[in-house]
Amino acid sequence: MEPTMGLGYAALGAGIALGLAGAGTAIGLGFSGVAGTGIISEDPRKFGNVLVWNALPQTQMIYGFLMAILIMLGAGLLGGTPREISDTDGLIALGAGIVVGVTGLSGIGQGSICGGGAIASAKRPEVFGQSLVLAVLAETPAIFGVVIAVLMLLSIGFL
Amino acid sequence: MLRPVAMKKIRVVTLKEFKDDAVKKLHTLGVVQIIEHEKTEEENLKFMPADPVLKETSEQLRGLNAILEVYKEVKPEHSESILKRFLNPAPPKEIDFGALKEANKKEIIGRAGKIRAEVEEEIGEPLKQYRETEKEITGLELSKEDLERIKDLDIELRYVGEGSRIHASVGTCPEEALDAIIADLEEITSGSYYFDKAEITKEGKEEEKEYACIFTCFNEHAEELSARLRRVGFEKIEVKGFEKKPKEEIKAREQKIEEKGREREELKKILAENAERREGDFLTYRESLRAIEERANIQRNFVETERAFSLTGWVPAEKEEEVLKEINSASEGLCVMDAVSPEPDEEKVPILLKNPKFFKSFELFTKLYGIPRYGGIDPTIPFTITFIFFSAFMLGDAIYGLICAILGILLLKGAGKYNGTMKDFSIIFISFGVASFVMGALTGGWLGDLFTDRHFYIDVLNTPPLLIADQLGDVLLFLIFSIIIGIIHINVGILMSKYESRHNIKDFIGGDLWFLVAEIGFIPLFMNYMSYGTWFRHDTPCLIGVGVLAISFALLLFARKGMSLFAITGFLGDTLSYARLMALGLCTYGIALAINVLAALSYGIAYIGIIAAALIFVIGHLVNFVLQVLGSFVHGLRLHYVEFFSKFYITGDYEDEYKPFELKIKT
Amino acid sequence: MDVLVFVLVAALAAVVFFVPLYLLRITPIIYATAVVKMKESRLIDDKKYDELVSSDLEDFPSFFENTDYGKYITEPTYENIERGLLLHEKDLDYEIFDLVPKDLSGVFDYLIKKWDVANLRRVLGGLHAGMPVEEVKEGLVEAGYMYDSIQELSERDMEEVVSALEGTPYDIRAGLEEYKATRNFSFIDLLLKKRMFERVVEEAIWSREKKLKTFNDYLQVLADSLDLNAMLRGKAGRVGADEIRRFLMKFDVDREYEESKDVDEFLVRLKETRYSYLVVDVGEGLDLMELERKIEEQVLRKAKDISTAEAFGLGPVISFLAMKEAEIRNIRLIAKLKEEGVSPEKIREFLLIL
Repeated sequence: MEPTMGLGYAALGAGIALGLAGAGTAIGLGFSGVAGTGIISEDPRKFGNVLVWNALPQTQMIYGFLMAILIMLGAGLLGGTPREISDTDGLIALGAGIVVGVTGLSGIGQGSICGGGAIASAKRPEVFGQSLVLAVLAETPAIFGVVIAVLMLLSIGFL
Repeated sequence: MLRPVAMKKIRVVTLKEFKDDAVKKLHTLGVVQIIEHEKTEEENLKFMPADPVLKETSEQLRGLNAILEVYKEVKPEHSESILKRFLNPAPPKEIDFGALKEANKKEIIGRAGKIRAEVEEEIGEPLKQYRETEKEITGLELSKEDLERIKDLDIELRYVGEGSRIHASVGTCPEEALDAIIADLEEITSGSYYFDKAEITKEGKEEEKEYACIFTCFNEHAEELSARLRRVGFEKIEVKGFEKKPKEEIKAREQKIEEKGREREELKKILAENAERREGDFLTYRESLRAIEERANIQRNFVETERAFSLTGWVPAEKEEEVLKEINSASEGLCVMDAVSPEPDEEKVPILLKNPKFFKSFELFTKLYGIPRYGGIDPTIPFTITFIFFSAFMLGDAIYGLICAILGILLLKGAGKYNGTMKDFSIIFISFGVASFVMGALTGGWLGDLFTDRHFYIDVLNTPPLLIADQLGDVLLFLIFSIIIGIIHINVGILMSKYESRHNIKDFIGGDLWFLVAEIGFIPLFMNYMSYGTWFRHDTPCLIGVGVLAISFALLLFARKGMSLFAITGFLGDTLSYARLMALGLCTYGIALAINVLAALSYGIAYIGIIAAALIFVIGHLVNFVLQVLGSFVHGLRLHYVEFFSKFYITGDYEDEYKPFELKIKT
Repeated sequence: MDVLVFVLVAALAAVVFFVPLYLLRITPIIYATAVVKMKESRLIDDKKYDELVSSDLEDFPSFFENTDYGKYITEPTYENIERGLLLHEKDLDYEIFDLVPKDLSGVFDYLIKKWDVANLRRVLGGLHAGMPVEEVKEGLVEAGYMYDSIQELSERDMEEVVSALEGTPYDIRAGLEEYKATRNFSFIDLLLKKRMFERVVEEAIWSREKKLKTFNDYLQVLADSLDLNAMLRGKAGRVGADEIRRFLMKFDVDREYEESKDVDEFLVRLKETRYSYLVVDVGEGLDLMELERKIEEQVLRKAKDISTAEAFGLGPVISFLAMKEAEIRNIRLIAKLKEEGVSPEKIREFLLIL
């Protein structure tokens, strides 16, 4: 079958989805990781606490990964036979990838909150639950991103 | 099981003459958490002071500990390697109290004092000499360091210093200071000086050069020069007491250091030998004294009259009888004890979790989030079940699971024998490993696609009934499955919170009830969609569905008011979050697949192909293993902490954790 | 079409590249913040203070055994405790100095310079009081940039020391005359502090970093308190406005100074000036030492306030240092008062709890 531009755009979308979201997670983990090392340098027993806080910013990366898989699946890139995709459809898939990728940059903000949360809950264990809630609120943009992206993919029959 | 242990508040009154025995028995029994008696306005009741033996006990303890520190210092080095510590650690020292068990405290303190005095005599001299020798060695090394810096100067050091007419100083300076130094020398001494330098060879560093230098001048210029030169960067080195050239002095010092080092080793041996003989006894006495100290201290919580005293504390309800028995035996029946259950809103009740043996190992995860409130839910059991399931799902590889299980077993037989936390970890690993094995087998993950697509195709692993769904092929199926599991999990959480609030109408209707109702409302609409392709039709089921949805919306507004929109997005987020179950599982498979591809490719390279392939395979899968296991644990935890616990789990204060008055032996 | 896509990707790449660069500037301070917050959680709280205040001096070593002070407080004597606290403070200062990001280390230099001043004070104070050289040396703390030279100086006399300090940042010749005339050690003391302070302010202004806003506020408070102390001592010693000017960094209350006839009146008039926040709960008839103590308390309180406004950055570090200083002060005070046999209730009144 003839490789179309549309297929290319879709692949681009998959790449951007995970690429940007992954960047968001990575940068965010930079903050929470630095705070974490500061904490365990004073008290190594807090490692479990620190580990949990460093898990939170990874959500964005997972959403990016998910979207990449879904796009590739829909485009037939995963599992053998690439489909013929019109340019428009390809661009829509690209759009889906972009929205997840860019909202995935919320990982940066979430990383800062997690850094602060790690410090706060290491100092005062009672605020662990409350800080957790605050950190999770930062995921909202990413959630909206995934929803829109899924709707877009649905509209072109990728799902 | 699903609640922290029921506690009872007890109060014991008995005669003072039985105090020692009663306290000792309670200490050994170790189930009562003694708290400070309530303050009272009664004239005759006063708080008991600490036992007078406390002071002497503490003093003896300090002395014993000091000697034990010395023993630790001089012991021959044979620390275990980390690997050995995990897989086959040496058992902890046994402490045999022997005769001390029955002795009373004054005897123990007396004997401790005696044995301490004996040992202090035995090691007094050698210890002093040992410390002196150490000090000498340090001093020698310090002076050697100084000498090292000027070792390239070829002058005899006895000429340095103040003479009858001439003064000489040695020191170091950086390269850039040289000009300033020479200028100052010129200026102050009007040319009557001598200056020489030698470059200090540094290893490898590209920084500025440093020079060892010496200058001489007339005595009258010495002071001014010193002040000036110091300011421009000349660092003077004191060489009082040295005679020969630096290199020779250094050698002399090195010899002396060696000599002193040998002396020190000799002394160390003497001390170590003493340690060998005496340490056991010392440890025994230390533990006995510690016990006495704790008991002496705890009585500050009691109140007393002239002849009697009263103590109060918390005890797990089921242990109440045992405590009564011990008190009775200590007081020959001359005691009174009453026990009451706590008030419904009483604060500060100690919290003790009680879960069956297997689940107990997972309590540390619960406690990491927060300790349950007294009377609240202890989520450990449901947590354990779903946690193992989720984590195993996210690892999704049978061979990785097997490795994990094996590691767990090794740990159990190794460090787990003596260390409670290690034992918990080993149980967690084993259960996680076994569950992952099952998950991996059911979903076709055996080191990725090693046995499914590559050279080593094994038929039985790839077909039902073993293979239920292929990770790569049925991605959408997995995704839907994960989301459904998520919705179920969330519902369980909400149901648990509703069960807890079943007596309080307002709490019951509020909270997250709207979500449950909404789900019910969706069912007819969903069935409609499945049958007819549209969500809504004008027939009874759909109308009922819409009606129920309206009710749920009303509940939502009632429960959350202004934040209603955020509640909906919150739930959306929670549900989507479970998609990570599928994502991480696929991740493991995907990376393993990539490693297999790489290994297969490199196999084809000439000559070194087989080595390269083996290396890539082993290291790649090892790294993937570590990353994915860590990831599965962490995300499994996260799903529970954020999506599950937040629905129903109310934490208490860490401070309220149950801390009984018990005898703990440290080695 | 393709161009559009290319531009889009480029734009996204730029976003990812530049946004974090901006945010990355606060990363180095996150580590320091985390460490400092953890140390903060180990500060002594009210309950522990109660325990400490009601126990005997004998029990001090075992009370502190499992705390950060464990290895410094080993004997139940005031000398040992005081020395221990000093050494602990020194180790902590060096530790914080190492933690702070390198580009700010010029500013936090004062943590090290503080010890030069402390050692110099010991030497000069010892000379003033006629202390034997050995004793002076024992009281020195092995810290600061000039430790070796200061050690040497301890063997000289006052004139020699002052002339040796010529050309160093601690040039105190200006105070020597007054000292020789009145034998009042304050003249030397105040000048030393002023000199050290000038250097710190110099560094901070040079840096011009936005991050240093908090620090600059803190410096302002310190400067005010130093000047205030100098003025109070001057007033008590009946020093004229012109002479006292030399010892101050800023002298904008000269009229109030000239016109008040004694310390109490001066204090009253100060409450109308910008120094009011420092003397806000000072009563009448207090002697100099008590005045200085109260002012010091205010400085520490203000330090904590200034810095709790900032979550990341220098704020937590400064706030922690202030709280630590208050704690060390409290422990020293409790030990001293216990040695003198003061009752626990009375001791409690003296504590400064931030």
